[in-house]
Amino acid sequence: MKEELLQVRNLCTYFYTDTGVVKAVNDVSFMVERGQTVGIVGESGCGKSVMAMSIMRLIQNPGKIAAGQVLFKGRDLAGLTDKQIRRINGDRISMIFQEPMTSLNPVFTVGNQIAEVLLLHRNMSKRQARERTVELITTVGIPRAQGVFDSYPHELSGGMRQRIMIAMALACEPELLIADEPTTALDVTIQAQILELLGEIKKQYHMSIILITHDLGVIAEMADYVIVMYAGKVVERGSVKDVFMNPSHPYTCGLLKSKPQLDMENERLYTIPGQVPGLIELPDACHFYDRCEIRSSNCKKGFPGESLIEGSHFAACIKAGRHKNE
Amino acid sequence: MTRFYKVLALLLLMFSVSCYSMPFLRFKDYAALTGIDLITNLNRRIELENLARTAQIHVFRSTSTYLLLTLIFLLIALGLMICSTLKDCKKSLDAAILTIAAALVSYGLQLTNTETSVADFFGKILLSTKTGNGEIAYKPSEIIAATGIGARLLVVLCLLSMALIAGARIIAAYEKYSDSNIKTPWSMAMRQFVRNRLAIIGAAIIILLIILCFFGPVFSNYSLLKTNILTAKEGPGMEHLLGTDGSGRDILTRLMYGGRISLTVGFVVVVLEILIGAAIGGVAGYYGGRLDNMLMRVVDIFLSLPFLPVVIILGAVMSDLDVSPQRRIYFVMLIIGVLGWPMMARLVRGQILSLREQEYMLAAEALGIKDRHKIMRHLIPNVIPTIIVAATLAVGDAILSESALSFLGLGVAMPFPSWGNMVQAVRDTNDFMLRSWIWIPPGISIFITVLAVNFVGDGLRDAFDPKMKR
Repeated sequence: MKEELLQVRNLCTYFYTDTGVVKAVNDVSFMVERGQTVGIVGESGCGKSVMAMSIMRLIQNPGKIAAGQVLFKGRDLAGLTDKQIRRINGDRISMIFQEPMTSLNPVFTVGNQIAEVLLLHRNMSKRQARERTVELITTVGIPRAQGVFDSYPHELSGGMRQRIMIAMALACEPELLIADEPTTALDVTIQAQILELLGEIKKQYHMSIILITHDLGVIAEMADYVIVMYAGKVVERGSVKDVFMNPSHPYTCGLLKSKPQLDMENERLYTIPGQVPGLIELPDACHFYDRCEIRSSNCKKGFPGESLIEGSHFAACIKAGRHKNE
Repeated sequence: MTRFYKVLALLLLMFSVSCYSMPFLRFKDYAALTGIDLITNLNRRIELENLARTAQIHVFRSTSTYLLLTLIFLLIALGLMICSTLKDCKKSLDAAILTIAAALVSYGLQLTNTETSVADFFGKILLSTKTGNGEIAYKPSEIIAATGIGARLLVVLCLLSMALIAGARIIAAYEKYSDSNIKTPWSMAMRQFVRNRLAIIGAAIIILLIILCFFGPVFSNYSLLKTNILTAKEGPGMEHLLGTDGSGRDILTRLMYGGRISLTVGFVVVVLEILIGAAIGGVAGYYGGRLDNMLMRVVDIFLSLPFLPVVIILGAVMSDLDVSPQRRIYFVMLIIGVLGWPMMARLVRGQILSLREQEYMLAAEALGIKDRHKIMRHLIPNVIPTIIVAATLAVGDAILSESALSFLGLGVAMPFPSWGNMVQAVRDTNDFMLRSWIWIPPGISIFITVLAVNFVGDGLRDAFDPKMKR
């Protein structure tokens, strides 16, 4: 029996801007088991990062978690006070950001920045924290850890900085690691190294990872379970194998088709026509309607509920599989 | 190499401690008092032959805590230096510089040298008279004393040894810097700064001025306030290097004391501006929202106050309240500081606003770091370069404001000198036309100081500007 670590139930994160309410995350539910890697994919602006930040309660004004629950080991994070959430953030749940270049404070040595977390959450003495930090820096595959401890962010390359960010996130051995596009800002060879590192670390610490990316290749390699998001909604979810072998939502099909393949004869890459719609005042219809290749008039009658394809594979499309309610 | 410096500095320090057995205070026709005397001999009776009979017996009451403090600091520094020469410890070297600096500060500390003479550096000379009922009363005496060779040597030796230790420290730091490949943001800014020749010249001028103004008076044989109408308005010569003013006071001496006031005002005002401005700007920028709005409106109000009229009114209020001339200087600092902080607050707020949106602040939040730590450890250090640059440039402004106020008779009041009120002499047409030595030196001093401060400020701005990196 697998243990449930994080359960997101009907999470809605809205931004109350002057031009209207932006429903960045709209009624999203999913679950992360212990030791599982969940990949979240989608185009830019479909609410992936906002969802990750909602889990850690990092949403700032004018954003707000409008409804829903984030149950972490049975405890609702959305209802905790700032003080309580701070004790969890960085300790039980931690996050790796997209931009390793700007996510480190330029005026501190990287070692001190990692040690700060340990001093805060683990009440270590300075010496202990230093030892542990050096250990961590070694763990994330940086040679000469003692020297790197005393260097400043600007002296390190992008890949090394991302490793430092990972070390920082790992400092307290969290149970859940949220990686928000950890490889997007890095070049391809470094990407592979970082992903490999994440995989190793996951095994070593037996933790769960939420991996946010728009790179389907990364998902295929790393994740056990995939969630495809579109315009703040989950449009398809299922195990990697199911989703890649049997994509059931036209959006997922589009994403998969637009992936370059070596054996592909076509000279042009497939693109999904159109763009992600603005998230203000979306009509009560399938959000993908305008770009869908298989749309029909029925698609305009409300947002389709999730239909079960098989096992744990769901898709939010009226044309996919049997409808759950039937 | 550094060892040689250190040993030399140690020797100099030993000498400067031994200076306490040399004369610190000279009276005409009387055996000089040594430094040790000044500390230990409370109520020492001295008789001066050539004075009028009534004033013959003086009691020297040493209230010289400054001198005692100086000795204590020097001894600590000596101990630290011995430590660092034996064990080659950098920390004790730093500490030694600091203690020597503290010794020098406590030695030169006396903003206004009141009453009679240089002797006030070391204690008070009081005249004892018998009252009707047989009790002895003390009152300030008028005898002039001058600093002895011991006091002068002490200053020179201390400064020299400090320079040597600083030299050793800089060499060591440079070696470490070129050895290791760790480049802190500070050391990189430092390197950029050192490359800027004008900034270095400016910094040298400022250091020189500070030394001159705070320790120069020790070498002067003239009193700050004692007037002597017989020598009034003498031109520059061997006796008075820069001549005398309308009341026969030595201009060089007054210039040095005036510089103390101007420089002190400059630095204190800026510290005040930073404390108020950075705190308010920081709070407004970090918390934002309604608090930000409120604080910034207060800033707007302060910025719309016309400087001169407000200051003139406050000056008039000060005169009305009979604030004593020595106290006025503190009020001047307060006024300039209180009127000057809004610019600093705006600057800091803007910086914090943009820093707050940086990814590392989000990362800090994601790591569960407390508000206090986020402000103190992550925001403030990133704002410091901006504050340093703005503050340096503000020092120049503050000195100018003080000079303007004193010139208008609203700041430091006669007979206490400040560069501003010394320039006042130009109002006398004769002095303006015929005796330029009275008003040109303070004017040039203001000009050079502010220019040097601006050079340093520009140099710092370039040094901290990431776009200037080469």
